[in-house]
Amino acid sequence: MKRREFLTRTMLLGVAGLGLRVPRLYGAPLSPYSGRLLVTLQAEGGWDVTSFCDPKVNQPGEPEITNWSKSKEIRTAGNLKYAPFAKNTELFEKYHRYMLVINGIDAQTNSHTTGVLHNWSGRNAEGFPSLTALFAAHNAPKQPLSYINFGGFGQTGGVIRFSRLDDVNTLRGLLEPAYSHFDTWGNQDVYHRRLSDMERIRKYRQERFARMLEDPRLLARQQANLEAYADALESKSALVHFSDYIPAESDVLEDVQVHERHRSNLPRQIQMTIAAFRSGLASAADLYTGGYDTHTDHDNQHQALFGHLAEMIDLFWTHAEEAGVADRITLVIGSDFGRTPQYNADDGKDHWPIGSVIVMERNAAWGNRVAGLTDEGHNALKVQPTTLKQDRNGTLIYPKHVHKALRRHLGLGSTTIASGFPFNNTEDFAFFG
Amino acid sequence: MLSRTFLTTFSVWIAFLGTSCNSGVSQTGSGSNSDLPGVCSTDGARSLEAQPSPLRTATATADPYAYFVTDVSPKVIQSRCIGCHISGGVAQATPLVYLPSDTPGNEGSNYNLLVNYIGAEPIRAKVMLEKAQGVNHGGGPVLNSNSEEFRILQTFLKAIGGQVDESSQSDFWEGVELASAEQTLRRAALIVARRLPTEAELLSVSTGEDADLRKALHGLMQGEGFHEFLIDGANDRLHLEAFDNGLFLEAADLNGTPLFPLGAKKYFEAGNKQDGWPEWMNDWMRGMAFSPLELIAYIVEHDRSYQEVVTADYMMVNPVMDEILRSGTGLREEHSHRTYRPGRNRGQVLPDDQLKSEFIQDFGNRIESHGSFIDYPHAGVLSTHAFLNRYPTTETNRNRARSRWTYYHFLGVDIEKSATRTTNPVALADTNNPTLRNPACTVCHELLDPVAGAFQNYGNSGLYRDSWGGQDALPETYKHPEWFEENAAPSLYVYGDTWFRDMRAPGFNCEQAPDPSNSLQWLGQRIARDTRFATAAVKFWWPAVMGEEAKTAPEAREDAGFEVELATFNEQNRFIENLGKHFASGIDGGKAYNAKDLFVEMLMSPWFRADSSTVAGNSASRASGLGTRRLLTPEELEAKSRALLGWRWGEDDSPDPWDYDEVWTQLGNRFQIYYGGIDSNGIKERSRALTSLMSNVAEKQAVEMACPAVVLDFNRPDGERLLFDGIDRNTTPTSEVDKVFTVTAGSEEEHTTHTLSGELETGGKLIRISFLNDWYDADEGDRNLHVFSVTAKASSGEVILFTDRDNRTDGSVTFTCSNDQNGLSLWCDDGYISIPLAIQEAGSYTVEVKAWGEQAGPDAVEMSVGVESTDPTSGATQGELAIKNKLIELHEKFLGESLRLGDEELDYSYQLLIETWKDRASQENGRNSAWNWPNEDCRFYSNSHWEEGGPARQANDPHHMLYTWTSMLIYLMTDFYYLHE
Repeated sequence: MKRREFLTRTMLLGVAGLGLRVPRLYGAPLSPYSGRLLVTLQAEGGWDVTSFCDPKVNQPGEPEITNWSKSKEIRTAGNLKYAPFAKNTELFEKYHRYMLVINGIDAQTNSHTTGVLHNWSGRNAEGFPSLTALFAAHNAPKQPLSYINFGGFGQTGGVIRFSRLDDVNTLRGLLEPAYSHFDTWGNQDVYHRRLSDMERIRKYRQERFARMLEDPRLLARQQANLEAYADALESKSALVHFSDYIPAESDVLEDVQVHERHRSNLPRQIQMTIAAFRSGLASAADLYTGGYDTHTDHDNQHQALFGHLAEMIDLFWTHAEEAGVADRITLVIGSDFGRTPQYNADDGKDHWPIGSVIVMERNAAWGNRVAGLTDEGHNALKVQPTTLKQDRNGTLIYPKHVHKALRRHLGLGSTTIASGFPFNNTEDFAFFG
Repeated sequence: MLSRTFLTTFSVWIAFLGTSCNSGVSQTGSGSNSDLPGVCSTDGARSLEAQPSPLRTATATADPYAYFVTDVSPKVIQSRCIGCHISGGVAQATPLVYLPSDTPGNEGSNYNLLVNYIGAEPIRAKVMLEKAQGVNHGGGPVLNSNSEEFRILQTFLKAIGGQVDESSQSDFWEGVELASAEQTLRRAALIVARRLPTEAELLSVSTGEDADLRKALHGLMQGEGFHEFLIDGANDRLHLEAFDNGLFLEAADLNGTPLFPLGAKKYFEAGNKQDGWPEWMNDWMRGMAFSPLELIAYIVEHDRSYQEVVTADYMMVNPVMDEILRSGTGLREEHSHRTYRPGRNRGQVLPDDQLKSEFIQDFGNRIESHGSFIDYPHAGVLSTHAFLNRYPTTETNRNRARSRWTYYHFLGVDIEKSATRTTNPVALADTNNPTLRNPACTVCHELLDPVAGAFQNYGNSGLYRDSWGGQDALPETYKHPEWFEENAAPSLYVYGDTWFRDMRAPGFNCEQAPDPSNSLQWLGQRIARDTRFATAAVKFWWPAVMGEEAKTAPEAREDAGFEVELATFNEQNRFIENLGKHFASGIDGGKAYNAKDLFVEMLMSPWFRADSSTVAGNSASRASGLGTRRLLTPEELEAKSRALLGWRWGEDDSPDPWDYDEVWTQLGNRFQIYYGGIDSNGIKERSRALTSLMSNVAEKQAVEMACPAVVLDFNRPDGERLLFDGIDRNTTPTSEVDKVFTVTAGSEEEHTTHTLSGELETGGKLIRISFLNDWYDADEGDRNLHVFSVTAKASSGEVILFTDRDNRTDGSVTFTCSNDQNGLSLWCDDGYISIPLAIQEAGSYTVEVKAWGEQAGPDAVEMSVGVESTDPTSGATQGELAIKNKLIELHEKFLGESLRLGDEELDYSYQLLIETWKDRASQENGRNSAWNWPNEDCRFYSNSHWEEGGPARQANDPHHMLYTWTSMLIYLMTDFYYLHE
């Protein structure tokens, strides 16, 4: 009997063998998740969108805002304007139809901590989960890798727990804990423990959980941790399938030295995320890269960082296409905030509350579009939420507006989970039509 | 019942962020701005203590104004609020700006302000009280809801018509039951000492007296495990192990800097480094990285004042650091790189005109000459190269990150969360030195920048006065902007300055640092004296002990669970403030700032010990993150498994030079991140609840450790075992009596008689004889067991059974080498001889076995003889009783769960054991071993285990109990209680 076949049988046997109140390890095997997918790409440190998707040129009598604009002009791809900087041309020319660029988002802070919190939860007070956490909790709460976080903002508000993926070889050794090795001499799989024994142990463990959870004297921590473990066990059997999707060690993408001070493992993050999506075990992921806090040597560092970002966005979609999941993905790219519309004495740029977000979907009807406005000095301008046109009586765009619109667009707007984290008294912006 | 030793009402010391100050006086020689407005009085900080009232306390309802004058104004407004809510203060933009007490008419004016404010919207009273507790309040918490001041304000606001919520906090812990002294000691031992408590320690707390428990807890705080707890706990906050996980410690770079001349010389003389640097460089770099953590550990372990964390005039050095820093501690090369002693840094020089060196690619710096070694100004952790380099600064950051984290770690103030967040884009876009002039920025920078200035002598990577010339650490772009831009505005720099003139002067709490050369030492002394330092210490260690960050005030009333979170924050904050006070003055008459005493009180508290609640819905039972059963970290889990089983998962005989502790382990290295651990570099927050992947790590640990643990333990002599003392591998659920015999006779003629005696109940039994140590060598021979006869006798001497090879009892079986046989010989160790025996009357019986062996190999033949029941669940066999008692022990050891015979959980565990045992007995198992090679694996961690006669070769399992116990260990090691303490 093949290992996979045996596992399937033992899982099915379990269905009849257990009737528990809480954990459902032996409940119906999880079907692979096949719904929409959400990814955030968090460029931590505060990126300079004036050299990216909200291009600005130097103005007479004003401090220089961008050095590239001394010799180059703003370029256009479709309806999108972009700065002729780094590898922006390749990026915007290839992907502008995928993109909704929302400029002029006011993070209302120059603090990294608050900027990260505000941009990725939609609120500048603690307590709200990331958009990805909400999405995963609503769409695939039982999948074992439903929410993957590679760093950056990953607060969950208690609605789900995130998984971290690290070294691929290590992961492979983890998917089936009782497995030891393949015996080439005997041409067979070798286990530390018979799988029938493991199933028996798991059954007894689950029954014990059920008894524990019935204790009315439990404290909140005990209950939460018990439920977390029970949930984890409930879905873990599906993890074994992940081995069919993770790349071979020789195929794992290598880290990239972006510049002398910054090394990036984004290629591996992307590779693992797409593999997890393809396996049907995951629904959302936070990709993370840093280095954008360029108080010194801004242009050189941002040149390398934006070049890397363009390559990684391309890598992401290329892998998604190859895996056949590109049509299901929404990719949200953002940062803590922007950078000052002038250089400091060290050729750096300091913190600036106005930033941008790029939302990408393959051939989206709302793609090839820009929303939000900033003036030539990169100050945010008020816009009318419905028409998205400049309006002195309109409102500035805050992260809460972006999140509210994204929630609606992703089908989270009126869900039970999202209703626990409401954006009250918040205008509806027609970013997605 | 709940111990309330530290839960009595206490007036709260206020972590008063609103010490609104501006360094108004220029500091000689340090540069800095001197003509900017501020609210600090010239003679120092505004007093934060309540002023005694000359008036008698009035009744609020009868005369609100009089009550305001006697109570509210002196005890709340002028002592708690005025620091920020004053013209020029950081809260000057709010509707509540008060007149200070030295302004005539302040009481009337302030009273009217409040009456009008509340009168306009009575619900504001509730919001105001919440803000005072820290909810969405820029100044953080200033009043605890249990404090007298809070009650005064609440009473007053109600008297003037405000809507207030008068629910009491007093029932927060109602119905909460604490873990017993034994349970508490066990958990504390595992977490704080990384081991299990000894029998003597457990016995010492059996009185249930708090004093005994305190003493036992104190006793845990020594040894290697406690050291690891301190290092891990400190690193969880300071994240210095990042330097061992990819982050480069530039401040210690002997290749790039000649400022450690002895080190640079040693490095240079090591020759060409194209193929990597010399091994001692790892010890140097890691030593410099870990030095601050070792300092904290040293201070705690040696009962030194915890204030030394920011004041120590020494650092911790390992042998190579001692050599390079000329510390003279007596450490020598032969000492381990993990041996640290306190010493001073006497090996650093300045980049002055006496320093002459040449950098040669791949070799390093060839030092030609250098100036005098500096008298390095130590200030505990603050002046360590790793701490400074962990928060590197830039020309524009100007030490603010160092300041922000100094506030956070050592004063308990999170500046980024403490101030009202500016939402005005104009303010945020201000470029006219906004941190000094724009109120939206000064709200933080008034606190931040003077402390940043105190770090004035440390350059971007943390090296002392590293600007060329060695006079300061100021960037050339500030001192000489014209060198970089032709039309640059002239610099404010004046020769001899050590700090920026367009920033606040170095200082702290409205006091300026008097001497630029030692401002960080001065800062350390001031921080150590600040009352916030003591409470910050409690918060610093809270995650290490409690497995959760200390609470911050919830920020949004509309959030689910707001009331519980607020109540929990208030209660916890009160506890921390109170404990901080005791810590500063000496806990229970002990020495001031003794961290061990602090840990003991944290472990004694209900925050650590709360175990269950008999009252549904009380605040404590609904509060997250308190009490027992927190998820163990990878380090804690590894230590627990080691304490129980004797080794760390994945370690082997070979030291790993790549690891700081030279031990590579699965949980410490390979699976650390997967099990929710941190690398201190990119991943700095621990996972506090299990995910599917994490549960797989736990399961993998269990399956890989359980088998060797069982085999190794049963091969230890009884009495020296870690887990299975008092039971042997032949004790099965059906065992009545059993014994192992050595059969030395080498021929049938020489056969010997081996007698087993014991008490037997009535019923059907089986005599079971097993051959335990089969051995074969083509040259040396084959070892086999031959039974000549078996006789069972009652105590009267009556023979009730006799069998030999020619007269087999009906129903008897000889199974060996995978086959049933006719005789009474056992050729392989996979089988047994079983002979039915009927006991008609309970009593004493003996079984005599006459046997001999074909002797071969180093050992004589070993044989086990037992009498078994035919019913494993009769409840009457000695085997069942022995196994159940062993399960009780294991539940206690592994899970901290106290069971007794008859308990439901014990019966479930026993049932699992029975099912496993029966199932194993029904399987084909060619070798009758603890694992059935080649289908099954058992991974021993030492090569010696596989040597001839080693335990891996002593894994015979004729009764399937090694295998069965392995499954039981897997069950226990993946239990919720095993992974959560």
